[in-house]
Amino acid sequence: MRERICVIFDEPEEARRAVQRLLEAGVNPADVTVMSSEPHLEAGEFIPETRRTLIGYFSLAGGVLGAIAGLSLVYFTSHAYPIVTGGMPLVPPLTTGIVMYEMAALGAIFFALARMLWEARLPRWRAVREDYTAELADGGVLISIKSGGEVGQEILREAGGREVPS
Amino acid sequence: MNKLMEQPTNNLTNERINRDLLAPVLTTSWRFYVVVAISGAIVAWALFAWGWQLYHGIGVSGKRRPEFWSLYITNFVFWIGISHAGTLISAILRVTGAEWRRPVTRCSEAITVFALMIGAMFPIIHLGRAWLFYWLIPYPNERLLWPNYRSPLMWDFFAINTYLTGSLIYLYLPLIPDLALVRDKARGWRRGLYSVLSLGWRGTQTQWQRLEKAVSIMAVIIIPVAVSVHTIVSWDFAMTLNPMWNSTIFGPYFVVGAIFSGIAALILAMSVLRRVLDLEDYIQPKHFNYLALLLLTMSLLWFYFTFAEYLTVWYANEPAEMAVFWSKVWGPYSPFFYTMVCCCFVIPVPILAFKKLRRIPLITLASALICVGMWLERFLIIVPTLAAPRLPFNWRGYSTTWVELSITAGTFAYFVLLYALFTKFFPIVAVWEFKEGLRHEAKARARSEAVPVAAD
Repeated sequence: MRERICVIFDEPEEARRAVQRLLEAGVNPADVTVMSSEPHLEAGEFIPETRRTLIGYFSLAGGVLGAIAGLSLVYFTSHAYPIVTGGMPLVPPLTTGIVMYEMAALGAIFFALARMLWEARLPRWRAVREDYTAELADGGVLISIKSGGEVGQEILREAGGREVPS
Repeated sequence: MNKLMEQPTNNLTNERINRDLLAPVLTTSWRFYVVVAISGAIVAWALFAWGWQLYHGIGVSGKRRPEFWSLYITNFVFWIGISHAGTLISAILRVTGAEWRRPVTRCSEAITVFALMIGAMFPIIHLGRAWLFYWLIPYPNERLLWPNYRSPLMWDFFAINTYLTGSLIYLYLPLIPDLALVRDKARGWRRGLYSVLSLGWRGTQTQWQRLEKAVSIMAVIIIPVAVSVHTIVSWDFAMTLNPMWNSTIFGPYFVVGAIFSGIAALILAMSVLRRVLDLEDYIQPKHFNYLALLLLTMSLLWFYFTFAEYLTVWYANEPAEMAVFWSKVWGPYSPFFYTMVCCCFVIPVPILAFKKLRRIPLITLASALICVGMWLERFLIIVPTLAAPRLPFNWRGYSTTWVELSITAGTFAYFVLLYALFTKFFPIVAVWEFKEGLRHEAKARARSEAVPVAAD
């Protein structure tokens, strides 16, 4: 029995119906991967998403950490060599706020990026060789099932898909 | 129907979109080599001029007392302003869900990154002893000396670096699916290059969802950062007590000017790209129309801020301020001043306001004039104030040198060079976003056609 089956559909709706039938036939959703060169997200998900994204929370946490880093940078370095400021504060809140603001934005950006890459499982160059076809560049939706067996293959073919070498 | 609003997108198939938008990446025309050769030669000349300045000292640039900030800082402010074209406009359009943004976003984001890179070079060139620029970076050192965080110049460092980093990521993230597309279409070494750059993107459902989420979050973060950058650049001036600099509206005035010049630069770039890369079906008249209306709004806003700024100075009649005021309005800088007003307001407003005149060639002309006008505006903010400081014994007229002019010309050529290289290596129109937009458009059309049937 082949380990992986890759079937390409010209229409996203056909692919959506095929995935539905696969899941109804008892194929494990974790074994099904749907790929396309365009998002096709407007009509909902192909496979129900079980894990919520935490990118927003990570970005928020990054922002807070960035702001703290900015404050620490200004506070500790200013106190490491306290210059004469003529009675003015060594760490003025308004000017320190600007550094904190920029560092907060930087932290939020980095954390959002890192979390996005983590959740999207990138970079993962090997996956392209194992489970993908360059035909997708011309459109369509690729459904790949791992250990789906004869049933999965049959369902995908009946649904109007065209098998492609991965 | 207004010709500007026509939509010649119906005959665009998936294959044709791929072919048209990836053509500049996968094939190289003679025009690319010509652009690279000419801009490269000017950049080489500018590098020679910079080398000359490094060897002979900063005096050869024409900077001397009292004009310690001259063309280099003019260019710095100008390019940072131009950088507001991209990420800010792209982010605003993305956040507000403006569907027409799709062919425009990437070319504007690229402008941001290159303009910021060029803008950030100028403080280093301006230093004279450029090899000491790292003193600006906060890093542990044996003398326990740290940069002064109370200085606006230090805020510039943080703001520009944050904006550049954010803009690079904001440019790169939506580029990943298109890099994968090029990977799938390319052969030989290009395939290897784009395989690495696309990070193994396959376009799974999870990847698309996470990408869209991350891009939305970035868009929200980048808007306040962009606003902060030019506000902080304005504070380089406004935090001093120099005549016509110490103004509370300098922050918003600079931001408005930055967005104004940024949109003008974006229109110029779009105009050139659609011609040179044959992108007439993608960058359409309607995009110019929408941006022209935005440009018109910014032109009016710019005039309002300029008027408010000059009126308050004139009304207060403070001698030191008036000396600078008159030097701009009636003195040696008045030709620049009136050219600026003509370029930024008098000529563009009728072109942009009247539908009959709002055609691509005229919009492009108005944008070019605005870029010139905004460069002059930066010059007029900086040089006249420094040429007439509060103590009159120090007054002096400003004159430039070939070194300063060469480096200035070189940065414009550098921008063209970077942009040409970018279009050679990356699709300048976001392919997947464009296709997604077409699908949305088709769905909306189908929905609107279905309504009367349902009513029947």
